[in-house]
Amino acid sequence: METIEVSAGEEIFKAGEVGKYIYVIKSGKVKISVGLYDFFITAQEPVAFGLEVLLDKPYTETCRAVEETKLIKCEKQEFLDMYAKTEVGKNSLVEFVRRTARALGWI
Amino acid sequence: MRLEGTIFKAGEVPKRLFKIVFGTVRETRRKTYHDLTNGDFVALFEYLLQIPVEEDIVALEETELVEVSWEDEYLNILGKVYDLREIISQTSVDVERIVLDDFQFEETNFDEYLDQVEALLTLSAGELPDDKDDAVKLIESLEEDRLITKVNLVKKFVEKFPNEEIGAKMLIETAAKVYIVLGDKYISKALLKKVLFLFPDSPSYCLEAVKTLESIYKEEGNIMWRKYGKIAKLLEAKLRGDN
Repeated sequence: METIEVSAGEEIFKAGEVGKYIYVIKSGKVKISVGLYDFFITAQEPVAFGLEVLLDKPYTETCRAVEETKLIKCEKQEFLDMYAKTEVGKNSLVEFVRRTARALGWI
Repeated sequence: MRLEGTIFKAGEVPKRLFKIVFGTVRETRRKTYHDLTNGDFVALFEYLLQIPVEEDIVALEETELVEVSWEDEYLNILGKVYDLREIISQTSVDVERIVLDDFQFEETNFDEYLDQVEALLTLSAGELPDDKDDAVKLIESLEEDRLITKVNLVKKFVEKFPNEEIGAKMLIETAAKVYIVLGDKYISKALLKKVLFLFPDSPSYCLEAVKTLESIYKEEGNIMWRKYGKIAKLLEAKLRGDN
């Protein structure tokens, strides 16, 4: 697990890519695109993105830093051990669900 | 617990998360129903987002449910939501490379069905006049009780006068009438898709056709409405750009 810095405009990962990492936002702002829908997350309520890695599946979202951003980058097992059963884990799941529901037009 | 009938009532915010052991549970969102079976979670979205369920969620047969926690089911929940994400990718439109395939026509031979309907009803509309204006007058003079005849004359009109944009207008108007008066979604959809095939260079007519297709698919609870909704947005953007 390590903290990384990404600059404004930098792509973190792209939908369709098979990745190894889940990211927890520490500071800054990230734009998450699902299909044609864009969502933004900040460090106000720490959440993770890239949860698809937990299922060994390709990312379904494209994530890009909007401003200079610090992220905690963790592997599948690290996330499961450290975050999955915490508020960060719950918020991440809830936000993943919320983005899905929005993109499906359910909410 | 075993039950049959309502699990959550419309407007209720689920406070507990249930997983189906066996049986079938029906959820309805935006007029589209989803039947859940073994291993699925009941009102998962509403439970996690703490929002009210839209319509009653009911067990269609004797069903056994078990209460679970999100912590224990973390990966299973994620897996279910991931499966739904696949619907998003299946119904997404590549903005840069929009092609006719994106419209996903069930079949391209729309005329076959229309011909069959005409043959069944044995309605004779007579020949379409060779003069465009006379043909338009004849079509417009037909009342609602001769709607199928009108459908076939409009079909003949766009074949005979392929470059006349009024054909697109008549296709859309007739499709709307067929939908409202006869409630025949198939004919309506076939006529609207003809607009997209025959008048691809008329974005305003295509937009109207696509918007109507979106409403029809939405009403029948077919997820295809999302694709047409997106195409409508693209066409709207294109029209704004053209202006």
